[in-house]
Amino acid sequence: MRVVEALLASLVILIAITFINVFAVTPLSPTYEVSELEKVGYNVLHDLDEQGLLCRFVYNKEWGNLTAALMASLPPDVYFDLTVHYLNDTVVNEGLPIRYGDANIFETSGSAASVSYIVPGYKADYEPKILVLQLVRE
Amino acid sequence: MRMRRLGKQERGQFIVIAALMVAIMIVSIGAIMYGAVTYFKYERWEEYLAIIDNVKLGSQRVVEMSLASYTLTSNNETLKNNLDQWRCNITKAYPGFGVILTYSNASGSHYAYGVNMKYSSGLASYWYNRTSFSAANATFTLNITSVGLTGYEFNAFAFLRTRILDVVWSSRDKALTIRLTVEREGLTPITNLKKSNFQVNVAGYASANFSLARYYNVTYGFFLYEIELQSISREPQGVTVTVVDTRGVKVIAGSGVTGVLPRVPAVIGYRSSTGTYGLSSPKVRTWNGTVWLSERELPSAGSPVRFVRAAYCPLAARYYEKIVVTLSEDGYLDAYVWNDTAWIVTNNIGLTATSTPSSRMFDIEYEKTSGEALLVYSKGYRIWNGSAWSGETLYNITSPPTDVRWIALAQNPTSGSDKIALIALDKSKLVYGLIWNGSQFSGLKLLGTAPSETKECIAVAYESTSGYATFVWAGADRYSYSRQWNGSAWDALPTRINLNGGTTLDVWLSLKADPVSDKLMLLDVDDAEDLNTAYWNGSSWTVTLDHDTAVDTKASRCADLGWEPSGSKVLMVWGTSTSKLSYKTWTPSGGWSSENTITKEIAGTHPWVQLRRNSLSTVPTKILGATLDSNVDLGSLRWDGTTLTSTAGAFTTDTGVTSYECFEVEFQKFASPT
Repeated sequence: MRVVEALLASLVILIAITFINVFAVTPLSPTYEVSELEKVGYNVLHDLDEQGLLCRFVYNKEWGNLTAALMASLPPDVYFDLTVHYLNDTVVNEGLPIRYGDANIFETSGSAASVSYIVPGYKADYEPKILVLQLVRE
Repeated sequence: MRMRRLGKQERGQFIVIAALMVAIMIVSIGAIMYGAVTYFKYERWEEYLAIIDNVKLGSQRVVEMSLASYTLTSNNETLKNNLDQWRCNITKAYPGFGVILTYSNASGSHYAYGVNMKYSSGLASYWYNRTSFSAANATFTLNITSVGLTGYEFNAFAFLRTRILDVVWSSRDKALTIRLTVEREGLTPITNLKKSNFQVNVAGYASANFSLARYYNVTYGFFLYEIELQSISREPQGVTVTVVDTRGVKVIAGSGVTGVLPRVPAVIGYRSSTGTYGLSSPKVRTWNGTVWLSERELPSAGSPVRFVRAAYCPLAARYYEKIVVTLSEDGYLDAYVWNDTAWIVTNNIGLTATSTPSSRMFDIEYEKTSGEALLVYSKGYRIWNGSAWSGETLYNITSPPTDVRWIALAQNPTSGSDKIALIALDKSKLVYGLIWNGSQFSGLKLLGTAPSETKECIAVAYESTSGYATFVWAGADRYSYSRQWNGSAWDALPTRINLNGGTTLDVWLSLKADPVSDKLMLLDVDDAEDLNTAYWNGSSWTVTLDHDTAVDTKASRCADLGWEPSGSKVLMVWGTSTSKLSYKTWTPSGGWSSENTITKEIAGTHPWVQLRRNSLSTVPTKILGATLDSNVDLGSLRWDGTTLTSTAGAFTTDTGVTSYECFEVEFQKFASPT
């Protein structure tokens, strides 16, 4: 009889845990993926900006260096696509993608993150540009 | 039995109830966690923080680029214009977030980092000084209405400071070395600048021919840049260094030359009413190779100083040793010896012939080889042996000794010699010459009769290579004369020097020797206030009459001359009218130049002019001097080979009187160790 009671009690706790797990959002959950990528993307842009590299790359149109800097800064399993816009939305790097990974993956992925970042200018010239960084994990 | 069974059954029920309660707890905690997670997910905190960071960093960049623009264009509306645009662009860049940025630019004076920043529209600059800077400062308030964030305040400050630590010109290497630091806000050293970030202007001309080194200097204790320019053949008047950092912010710092290598100091001893003891204590200043340093008061001489003489030790081992001797109103001599640590003072070291002396009846000179100094005065002499003064030796130049009025000494500059020539003038206007051989006087000679005992119308100098002592004196017959001692005997007869055609008495003489040959140059101010010279080529005199026919005065020696250390040129300076000094140069090939004048930093007339040549020919300052003007200001003179500069009152603005040559300049004989 005691064995039966113990089994019943265990069953009740197991059901409760299973019930909770249905709603649980763990750190590894895909629910966090987008905000995680946004955070990573923003941090990378911010760090490059603080070092004075971001403006140099953008305003000198050193797209190759910018791509390399992003690749070195982001985790290797994260694909990215950066577009640089004037304030009127015209793309600065039109036809010169700053990208790592296949272009289609950003359209097909269900958890693509997007980060906007504004840079005001370079050296003595005020000429703001908006950077839009799309990120997808492999 | 029944009861025990019941008890067992109840414990089984409790287990199930406990399990149910645990299950309820798990479900409750799960519900709370779910709520928290979903709340966090929908509130987008990370994004808001990113916006704040982006706005802050972007605003800092706007301030920096505005400062860069301002330093290039001098448009102080730059910061305002850029920030007005920035606040609009921020709102556009983050649509839907309700980002509102307001700002206020700094104004007025802010003291920080050791500089006073006077802001106008948030911008400030202070250039062309050894410490120069550019700065921009704005305070921002950020609101993000979508999350109810209001009043988030932050400051953006951009700063670039350049400090020139020293500018040293080496006359030997013809190189100019500039050491400077570059710092940004927080006084953080900027260490990544390259040659392209610097521009150097020397004497108004941009120079691209320089090298740049970066290193941590242990002496200064911080990181610095060292710029070296080659082929700078003359000491530049000043340099400017333009620094543009990687942000594009510019600063222009400027400085004069702060040091010259090799460095040959000089000293001036003089009378001044300044200090604790006023006129009764002599004052000294040191020339550090570039500028005169601040005044130092020596201990009191007991009564107002009237005459001052100075001498430097000719031995390399005691290169620093200098002696200043004063003659005061009480008739006593006071000696001050600098031994590299302190001034050794010997008050009342000798009593000259009379109280209230109105002529210089003493002189001091070192022996060339032994390094002993001979102090001669009307009653006798004393010897400084490097550590102490000897007792007084009585010696009658004239008889009685109280008759002596003027004494002048000259060192034999030839190698191995300890001889010193002495010329004296007594109250009967008799002129005597004699030779100190290193241990005693000999060869006393009555040379002639002078026209005056109140004016120094005698002089003595050695020919630099032959070692012949040349004595000159003005004669009562309106001619001047020279006579040489060749080391063992006097010339058979004096040589007549017809300085003014025999029409006027010569009253003030100055004789200077070329340091590299047997040439001599004699200067004469005569009784008609004419200025004349005579050049000795080693065997005969060539006279040049009337350089000026109305000098400032004949009551004192308002003119002097000096050879450059290389012996290639003579400089003659004299006072001839109010608020100006005249000068000429002489070269063996070209003779006397035409008259030049300087008026800058000149005031009054000039009763006394004194010039002394540098010991080394490789240094930029060839000749230093001093001039006492009618305002009782004692000013400085400097000759660099082409330019004569003066600073009125550089030493003192109150000597009290102009009656006496109450000062003397003397160069150190060797460059100071570096």
